[in-house]
Amino acid sequence: MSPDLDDLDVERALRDHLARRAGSVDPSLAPVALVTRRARSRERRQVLVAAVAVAAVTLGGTAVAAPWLTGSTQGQVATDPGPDGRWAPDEVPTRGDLAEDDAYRTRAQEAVRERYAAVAAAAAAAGEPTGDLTAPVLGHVVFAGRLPAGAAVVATVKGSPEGVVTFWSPTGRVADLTMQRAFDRSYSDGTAVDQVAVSVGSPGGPGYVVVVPLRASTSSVEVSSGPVVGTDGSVRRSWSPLPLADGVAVGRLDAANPIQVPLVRLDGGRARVVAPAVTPNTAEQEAAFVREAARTWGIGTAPAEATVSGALGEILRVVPVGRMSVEPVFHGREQPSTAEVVAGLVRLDDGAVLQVAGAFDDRVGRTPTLTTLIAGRPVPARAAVRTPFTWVDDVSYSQSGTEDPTMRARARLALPGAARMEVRDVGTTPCGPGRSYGSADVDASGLGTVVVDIPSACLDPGPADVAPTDTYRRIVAVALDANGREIGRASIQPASMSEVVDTPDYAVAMSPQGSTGTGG
Amino acid sequence: MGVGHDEDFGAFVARAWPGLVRTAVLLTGDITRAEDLAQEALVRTHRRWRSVRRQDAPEAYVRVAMVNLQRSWWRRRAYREVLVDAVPDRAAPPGGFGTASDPDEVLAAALATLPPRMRATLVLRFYEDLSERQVADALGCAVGTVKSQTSRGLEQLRAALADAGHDGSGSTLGSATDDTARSTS
Repeated sequence: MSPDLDDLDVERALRDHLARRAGSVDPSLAPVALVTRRARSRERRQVLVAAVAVAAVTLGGTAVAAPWLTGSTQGQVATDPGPDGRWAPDEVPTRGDLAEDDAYRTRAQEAVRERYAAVAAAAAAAGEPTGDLTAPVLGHVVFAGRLPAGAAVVATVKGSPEGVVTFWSPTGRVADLTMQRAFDRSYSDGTAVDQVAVSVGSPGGPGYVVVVPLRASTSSVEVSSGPVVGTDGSVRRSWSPLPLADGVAVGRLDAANPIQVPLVRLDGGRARVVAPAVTPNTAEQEAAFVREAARTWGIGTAPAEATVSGALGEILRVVPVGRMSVEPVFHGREQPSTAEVVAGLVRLDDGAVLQVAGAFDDRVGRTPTLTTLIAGRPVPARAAVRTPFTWVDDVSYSQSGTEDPTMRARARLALPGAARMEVRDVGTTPCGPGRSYGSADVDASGLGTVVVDIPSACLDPGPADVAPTDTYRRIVAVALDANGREIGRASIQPASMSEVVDTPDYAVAMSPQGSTGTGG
Repeated sequence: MGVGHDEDFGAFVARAWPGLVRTAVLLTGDITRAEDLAQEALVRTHRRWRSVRRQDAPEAYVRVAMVNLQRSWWRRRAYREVLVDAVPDRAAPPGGFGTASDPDEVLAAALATLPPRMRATLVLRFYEDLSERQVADALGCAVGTVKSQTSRGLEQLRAALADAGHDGSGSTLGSATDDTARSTS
């Protein structure tokens, strides 16, 4: 560093540079219609309307009466809801029988500090930057109460992330309270929230759903423990009522359902994802499962354990290890990133089959990056081995200088035995200039790549399916054999193009893969 | 939310778009990505427009959304390649290749290597002219963090300039012409 350059020199040079750089930019026309359309489309999509049959299956076999939650809320500051009859999450009266126990709040704040100090220390030890890590500060306690298997605290938090944080004490004692998870404030999809809903409990133990409605008028709460995937790849959900007492509803997660991705809805309204603080497996169980899967992958050279954990990471957070087995299908490397990719089928004990895939980019000189490509996509059991694994990356939405929100993406397909891939529109009527959007040879390992531009008209507007963000289900990648015959097809669909929340990856596990020819 | 809501929001988008994109370019270093970033931030703002519109400067809300989104995107960018139509030719710096680049190029390159929050801090401080308190509010951190991020950021830029031969003794620093202020998109 030169002693001749002082801060003011650098500051002045920077100011000049930024002004020139910004001044040289010639923005396209403001995409007013596009922004509004995308916002509307996403708001509709995030309704998370679950599917069809509503069989009356009681959550956990019994609607859990909650005598342990009938603690008085007296003594709290009586906050009235706003003019729209709704509290903000950091204003709702604290619910639960420990609402007046300051010891839990104090301990929760300590737990936040401990957790983030540990995270920062681990990052520093690994030589990673910690500049982005702002220790959150506990805001308002939304819920503090005893449950049959412990005690939970749910609070808002400010910092990074800003949102909701959960704490759990397996013994119920205040000294054993530890931080479980923090959820970005968009955990409930970013819209004005009607509830704070989380699952809590011990990993691998019984999980509970805690729902605190934020509308004073809320009179009914229903919860669905998770999607039920059929052997034909279809997905449905059932709902069960939860008793609402003293402003909170609590229920036990249904252990009969192998997939635990709970949703909640109030007064029969829109379904929302329950922020999942509890997982069905312990960290040790997850690690052992991944280790064994990596050991037995057995396609060419053994994949890195990290890559396998990328493929299985999401599914391990929603399905108990004792209820699934993994069938390795693919192992190769993406181009041009050279990231290692594995893909496989997860078979559940009820006959359902889900696709999973992950990638690990360990190029020299770059930060190793792990990505879940397919979190758990249902496929028909009979056609599972012929259904290609598909994903997209490098998604960009708009063409600079235009109003057309074309999705430019790199579409991937993996299926051993395939010779070629083609991206097609299989809607009833074409949504663009033609049916075919590109094709390419598949490499020896079974991996194909083609860059495609998909017009906005191909965006799937249907609100019926659970879809994380904008989706293009009518656009499929088709696997072809050496004679050009179709082996199988699957829709291309970004798993999560812009949301950095828990919702999309879990929601992917609820999006049926088999019915792609429905557009038009 | 009805038609009036959308009309009001649309008018805001039309008015704010150029300024937002310019800030986004400084945050991302790339016009296409900047437009994506501004667009995504606006899409998210739409959901909260009813409350955001009541603020004195709704642009500030979108700016914060852009900063936060950019930090999130940055975390995930490492694995993905960047799609471009064609690899752009790179103009030779004054004096040809192998000599010190012009300070704008040096600063652009140095800014691109900064962590997203540090870069955002510099952009908000020295382009948006926000106070340290305002930057702290926008980034959700303490004023002390803004001070340290600013100081460290400037230090890195100074080192980059010094490495490139801009030691303050010559006349190039801060005197780049419009010709050298070309877009890196």
